[in-house]
Amino acid sequence: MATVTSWTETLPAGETVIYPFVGTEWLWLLIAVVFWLTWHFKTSAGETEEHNELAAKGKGPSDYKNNIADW
Amino acid sequence: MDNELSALVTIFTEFYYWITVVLMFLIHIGFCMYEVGVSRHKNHLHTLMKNTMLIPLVTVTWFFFGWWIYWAFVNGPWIGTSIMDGNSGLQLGGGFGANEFADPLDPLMGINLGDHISGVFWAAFLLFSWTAASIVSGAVIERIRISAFGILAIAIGSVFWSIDASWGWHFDGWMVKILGYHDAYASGVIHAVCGGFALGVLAVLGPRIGKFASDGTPRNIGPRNPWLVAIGLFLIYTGFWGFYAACNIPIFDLGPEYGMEGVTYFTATNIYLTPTTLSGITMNFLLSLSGGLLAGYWISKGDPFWTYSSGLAGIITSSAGNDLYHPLQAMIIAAIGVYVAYKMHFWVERRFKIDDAVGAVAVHGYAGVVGLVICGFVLWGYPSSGYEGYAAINPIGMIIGAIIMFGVLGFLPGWIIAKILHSMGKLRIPHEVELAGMDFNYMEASKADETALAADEK
Repeated sequence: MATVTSWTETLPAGETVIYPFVGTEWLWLLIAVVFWLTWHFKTSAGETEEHNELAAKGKGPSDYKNNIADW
Repeated sequence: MDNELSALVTIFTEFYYWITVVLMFLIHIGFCMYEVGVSRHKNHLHTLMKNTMLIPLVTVTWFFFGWWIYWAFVNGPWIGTSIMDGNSGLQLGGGFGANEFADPLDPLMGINLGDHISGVFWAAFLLFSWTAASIVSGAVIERIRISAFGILAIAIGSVFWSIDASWGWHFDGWMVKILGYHDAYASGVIHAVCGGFALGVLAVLGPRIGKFASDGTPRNIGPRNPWLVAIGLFLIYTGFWGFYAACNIPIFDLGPEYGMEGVTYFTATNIYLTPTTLSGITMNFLLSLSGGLLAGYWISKGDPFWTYSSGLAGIITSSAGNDLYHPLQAMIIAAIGVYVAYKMHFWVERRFKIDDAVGAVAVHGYAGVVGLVICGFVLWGYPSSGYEGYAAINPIGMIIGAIIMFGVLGFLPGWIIAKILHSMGKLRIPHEVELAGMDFNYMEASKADETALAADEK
């Protein structure tokens, strides 16, 4: 559903809003907020899992030196 | 835009702010390089990702509510009286929550052929927000959870700096009207508040393992890569040109704005709509940088890390009044700020066992506070605004302003949010992970890939 179908009609009419689906901004905002909040929960859980796994390895402060790659 | 002149002014202003955004992007690149350069090998990638991910987090929340806060709270709420009514250039209706063009549901928050300025102005402010969060990011490296930092970044980048800007970095802000607060290039509204916020977080987060000896003596955990640190700080300097330009309005007719009958006076202005020149502030920027570098090299006995940081601290100290200072005043003020910030850093480190990995609290917080206080004395009596009824710039107002920035909107929220995250066990990484290094799994996998590839190649 294009907001603009003819520039020669839109511009002289003084229409300024040209993005698609005008009037549905609330829906896009809702989706964006849900996506944003979900991101926090999911990545935080992933971080905890990663930390638990690494902590269980019981590595010392210099063990990382064995993993320094040459490439 | 129905004539060539108004079109030219509008498009020039649009492009002007767009350029400042591009330049300020370099600040963030610089902060990323700087932080990675300071971190140890085993934490490089997580350090990089922590600072990188604040970009989307602060951006989306700035769109959701940060920009709205800036326009909604100029009166506190319930402290001052707004001048934004039908008679002003920005007819917002005044008061709490009155700003339609910062409402994420409004058609003005998108491509709109009737508005060429709001989007780039929004973006320029957003880049300040990234800088705000990035200042805090450096202080807490090598032991904070990325998820915790994300929340803290949103708090400082899209809430507390936005509130302080609304109060003290807005032509209608109550601090400007009542206190005579003046902070043209953000000594307080960006740097002092973020330094205070970082200190509040650090007080709860605690030092890195091994930072302090058993007798309490601090140890230097030096930069892992001094070249990355040097390039990072040079990029921050470069980006600061954009920061300064973005604090100005490039073309504005102050005659009708101030109600001067029949007067037309086009000039650049600062954020308070008082006149200055891009030419003059360019001299002040360079002399501030020079004063900071000279003082930093002297006091740190040529330490490269502190000399580079002192260049930045010098600019930050002079920034509050750099729209009006003489260049030599800017230079001397910068040097004073660096001296205080440097001494304070080591005193606080020893006395309170604060591990500020990049000196962010000193460079931004203490230097910013010193800049505000000095500005109150040096610019004492200057009008804070061209509008009627505003308090003049004065030392008491600026000292109160410094307390609000560093303490009330900086340290206190940082400390409280960090305490909440700490109580949930979500602030700091586990002891074992800190010892092993946050990148251990990445490095182990990379080494395994390398070994496997080498075996195949044989």
